[in-house]
Amino acid sequence: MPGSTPAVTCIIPAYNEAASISDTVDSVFNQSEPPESVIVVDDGSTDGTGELAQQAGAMVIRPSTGTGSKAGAQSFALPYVDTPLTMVLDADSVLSPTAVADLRSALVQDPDAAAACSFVVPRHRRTVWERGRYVEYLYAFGHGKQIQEIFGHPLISSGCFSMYRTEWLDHVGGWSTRTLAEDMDLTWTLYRLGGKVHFVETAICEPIEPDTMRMMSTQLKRWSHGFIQNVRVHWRGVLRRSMLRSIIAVSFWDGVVASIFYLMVLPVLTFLYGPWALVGYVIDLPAIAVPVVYAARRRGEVRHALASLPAFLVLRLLNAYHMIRALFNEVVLRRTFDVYEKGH
Amino acid sequence: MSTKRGTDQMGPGVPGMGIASVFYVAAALVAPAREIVKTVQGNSSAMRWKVVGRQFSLALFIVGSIVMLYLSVQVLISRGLLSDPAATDLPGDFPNWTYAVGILVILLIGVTLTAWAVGLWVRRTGMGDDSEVIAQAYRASIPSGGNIRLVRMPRGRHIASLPHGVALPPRALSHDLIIDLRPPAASGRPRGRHLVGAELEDTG
Repeated sequence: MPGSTPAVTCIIPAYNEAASISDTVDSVFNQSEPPESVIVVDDGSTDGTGELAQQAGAMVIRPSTGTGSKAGAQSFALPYVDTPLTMVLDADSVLSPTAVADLRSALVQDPDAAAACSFVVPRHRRTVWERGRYVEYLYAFGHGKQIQEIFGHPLISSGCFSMYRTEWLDHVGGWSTRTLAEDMDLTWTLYRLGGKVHFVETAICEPIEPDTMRMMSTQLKRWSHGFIQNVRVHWRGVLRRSMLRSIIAVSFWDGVVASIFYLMVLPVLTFLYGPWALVGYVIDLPAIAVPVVYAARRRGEVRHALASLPAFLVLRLLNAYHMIRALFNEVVLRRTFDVYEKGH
Repeated sequence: MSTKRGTDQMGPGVPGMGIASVFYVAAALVAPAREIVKTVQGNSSAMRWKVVGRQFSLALFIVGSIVMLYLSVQVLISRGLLSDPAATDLPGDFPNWTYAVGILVILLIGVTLTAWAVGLWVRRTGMGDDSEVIAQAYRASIPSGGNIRLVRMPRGRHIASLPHGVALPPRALSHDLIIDLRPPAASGRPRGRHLVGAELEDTG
């Protein structure tokens, strides 16, 4: 229905988000085209999150018992949605002023689109972990995800801010809790059902990222396990879609092989052949820096991005560790990690 | 601070090093050719060309940066500031960096071809049948739930088999496309029947 503006309901799952929920709700209401309804799912908070959300103007609903996961909280809110479009937003994220309008426009322009997702960039960049994530996102959203969009298959409609046709969410029964990466699960399910997903670079979401190694590890553990669980659930279905199949195949290969290379091969080579092998840890830095600097330039943050590049090298070592660990547990030991741990 | 973030990276692995980087650069380099085809078919736009052009330029810069890095190292080696780590006993008469890139390209081709072959095998053997995913979608969208079968149609499509009296959802889903089963005003026949060339099976 090009030309019309279908109504949007915003779902914000929240658990003890008192520090950020007001900013999040404000950023939603201050949109150029705000959603018609804003629902905060107060999933058992003990810090007054629900009251703060209510004061900010959101409708607050509470499950009788905590759902224990982001997927559960979002699905709990789905029956309350009576608009054609549904957006989800993390409770610690703020949006650029036209973000909702941009995603809505993408769904209006393509009637076959089931979901649309945004550019993501960390709100704070103080610690090494936040800075590493900053570079990682500039690289991923400024380069990889844009190419995925060109070829019609963004790998994930990001869980921190996405918009869906409510009809599709109803069809698939909301967000599944069968994996720890509910956004990836939903995206791949939508693809399998014939839906399309769009990445909209002008819509920007700024979440708060983990600022300590412990918090970052908790998040990376969940992501790594979630990815492997989704490959296990969906591999037969996604193999039918050529571009998605290739993206997942190379991601899985790199997740395994590059991680082994970083953590095992390079140290062994260094031991055998001397410090020259250490160059392997930074040899791809120019290739990383080009898209990062370009994306940062558009935000007027080139110096900041360049200064953050070393942090990225540290973060990807942690990435590699958690990927290998998750693979060993899920595939070798067949020990599925299914506890939605607090972290990020 | 959020406790609820989902997976949000380009991939869950290690970005930068590896075949994913080569994959995205290669994809960006072939994107203009693909976009020309889409333009001829009327499926492109100025906005899409802008993104394609930008990513194509970035890919060229990435390749250029790798070449520049190699040349810089060669200059340092030639001036004696660095020792040649590879002290080449590699076969052929090519720069050392071409071996590394060559290995990555061969790996990339190998991985994508393997994924393609497995996909073909899955399709041939019917292992990739999405019936259950689609049935789950129907069950979720029809209040009576449960009592729904799917009939697999040629070319991997499916059609729902519904209990008598159960209303279809406004838009039914199939493997390859959404089939709108609402009767068009003109003919009164469900378009779904027309599209898949089969009658709805009435199990009532």
